[in-house]
Amino acid sequence: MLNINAIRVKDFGPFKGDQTVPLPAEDGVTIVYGENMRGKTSLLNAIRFAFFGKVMGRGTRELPLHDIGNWEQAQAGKFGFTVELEFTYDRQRYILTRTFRPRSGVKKPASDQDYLLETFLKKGTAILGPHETEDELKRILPEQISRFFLFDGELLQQYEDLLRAESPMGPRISEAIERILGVPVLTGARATLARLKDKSERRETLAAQGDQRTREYGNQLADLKAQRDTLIADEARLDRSLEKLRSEKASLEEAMKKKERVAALLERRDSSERQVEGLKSRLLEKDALLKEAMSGAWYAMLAPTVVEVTKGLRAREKALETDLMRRDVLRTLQSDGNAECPACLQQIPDDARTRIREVLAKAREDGPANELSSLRRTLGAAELVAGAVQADALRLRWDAYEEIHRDLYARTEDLGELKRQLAEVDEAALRHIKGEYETTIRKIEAEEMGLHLTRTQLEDNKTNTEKLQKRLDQLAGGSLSDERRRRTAYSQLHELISSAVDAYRDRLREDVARDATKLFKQLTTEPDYAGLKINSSYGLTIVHTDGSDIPVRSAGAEHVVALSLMGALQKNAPLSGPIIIDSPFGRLDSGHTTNIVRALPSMARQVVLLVYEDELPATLARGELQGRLRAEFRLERRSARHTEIVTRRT
Amino acid sequence: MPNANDKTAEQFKALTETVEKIRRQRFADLDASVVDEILRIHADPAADEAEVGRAVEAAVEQVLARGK
Repeated sequence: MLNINAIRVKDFGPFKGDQTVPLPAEDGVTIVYGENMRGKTSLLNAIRFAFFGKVMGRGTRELPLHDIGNWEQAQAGKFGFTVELEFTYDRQRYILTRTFRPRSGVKKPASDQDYLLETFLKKGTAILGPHETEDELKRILPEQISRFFLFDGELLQQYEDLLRAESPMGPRISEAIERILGVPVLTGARATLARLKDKSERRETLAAQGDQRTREYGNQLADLKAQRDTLIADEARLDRSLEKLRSEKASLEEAMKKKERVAALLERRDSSERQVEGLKSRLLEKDALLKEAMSGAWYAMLAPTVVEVTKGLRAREKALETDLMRRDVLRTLQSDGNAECPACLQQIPDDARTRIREVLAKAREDGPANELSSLRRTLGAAELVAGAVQADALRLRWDAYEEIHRDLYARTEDLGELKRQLAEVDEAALRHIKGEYETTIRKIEAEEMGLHLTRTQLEDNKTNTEKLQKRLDQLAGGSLSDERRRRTAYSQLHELISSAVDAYRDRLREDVARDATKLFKQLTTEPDYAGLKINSSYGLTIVHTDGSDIPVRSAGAEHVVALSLMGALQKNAPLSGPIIIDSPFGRLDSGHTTNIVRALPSMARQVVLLVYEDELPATLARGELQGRLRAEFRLERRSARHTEIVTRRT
Repeated sequence: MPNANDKTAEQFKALTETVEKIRRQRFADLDASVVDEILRIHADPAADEAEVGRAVEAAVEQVLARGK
């Protein structure tokens, strides 16, 4: 159990001069309050610097140490800084001092090269040498697992990568988790035994080649071994290449994600351009149809007059038809001597016949017929005009034209706006990223195929080697017999430990999932969440009470899941130590904040929270933690580049 | 196990139990003490790779010599 008793800083970040945070020896929570820019992250980095000699920026970016010294002191010509940690580990008292100071002769250092990094570790009363110090620190807090003790919200966010199969960060975190859980004892043993098994096989091959009876088998084994060495080298090369390509793919995805908005704008622009072209061509079609319809449109102006004239002409037509019919009747009566009146059926007297003759003589023979013929031509023309005036159809065509015209205007305006927004964008760079991404995917596919082939060949090689070894076993004697026993022993030991790695991992995953679920249920405010499910990389998925997975979670939920994992790891790992968290509640609502504060003392024996007051009100912390809140400090501003650590409550 | 405290010892026990269970089931001929020794050698996080290899070889050779 690692317990930090005091953090002493000198000219580190905003902490000008010598300043100390004395941490209570009793189990519980210490809170350091500080507004933004006051030095909370610097305090976390001071611990990181003491243990590992480095400081981190946002995420996992390492910062130049030259930039870490106090700025006011640097302006006064004093460069460098010191961090001293006082801690206990396995009931032993330690003082770890790390100093970053300018090399002799350097008056104004400009980069890390101008400094010396010095480390001293005092164990009890003894000061350890450099190698002992290094070994001792590796045992107390290996850097690879520091992320489970010293972290901020951004590091918590990274745990989501454990659920993404191709994330480059995921395997690194999984490895760190296994390290804290003790898996390297087994994986290390497996690697050692693989090397020794290989060595024993070489020895056996040499022994076989040295014996007349087994020389041929020995030679074949040597050939197979040479082939296997090549295949193993190929496999390692392909593995490395795939890891690199997958990392490149993830970076490209990240880059594409950052340019997502631009990509969306480009897509909209391309789509708008296509639509504008389509609308233009439709407008041309509609325009032609409208022009055709408009050629007779002027008839519409004559329509009322034509209708009136037609009515008169129709009346005249009827009158003329009647007149012509009367004439026909009269002509019949005049010409036939025995004709009867068609109305009264009486014989027509001669005087009446004379009058008919006179009437017929007075009338012009072809007058009405000609007039009727002319009138009918006029009527035909009038009807033609009336027929040509289809006002509704014309209106429909006009409306359709107008609609397309409006669409085209709106779309062209949109397109203009999109082009303005994209004016500053390096479109070629974006297309280049997309192209690179597609190429990388193709390369990954090819390398994966190559890896599969290599592994198949390795399997074949193993089968053939085993066959040969069985034949050799039948002939074994003398030194060959000893080598066979040695090779068999290493082979069995390697197989045993390899099987144990898988079995132990399964067991650990079960334990971690169980403890993380228990903690998660204390932390979450959602009653419908039943617990957490673990994958092979220790990624945790929230499971609903109906048994389904919750595939997407918010940043706040991600923090709750990550903290559940932290708690479970602390419970299952032998290397337990303090949890020092920088601004962990920024993305959490008050319900989750309360639950987490309440659960903190059960997650680790020593917890140090670096928070700002709005994130964790002092009243809330005091109310929830009560006697388990051991001390409160405040980071107070003296100037923009000078913060003082002030004790608020102990 | 170096720097053994309760939790470390507990974890090491869990680890050796896992290995021992498989040994008994599938590799009963293998000497249990050499397996334990190999795990113990690898439990030191600061141990050098070559040094670890030599220690394992020595442990295995001892068992082989006994079996002659």
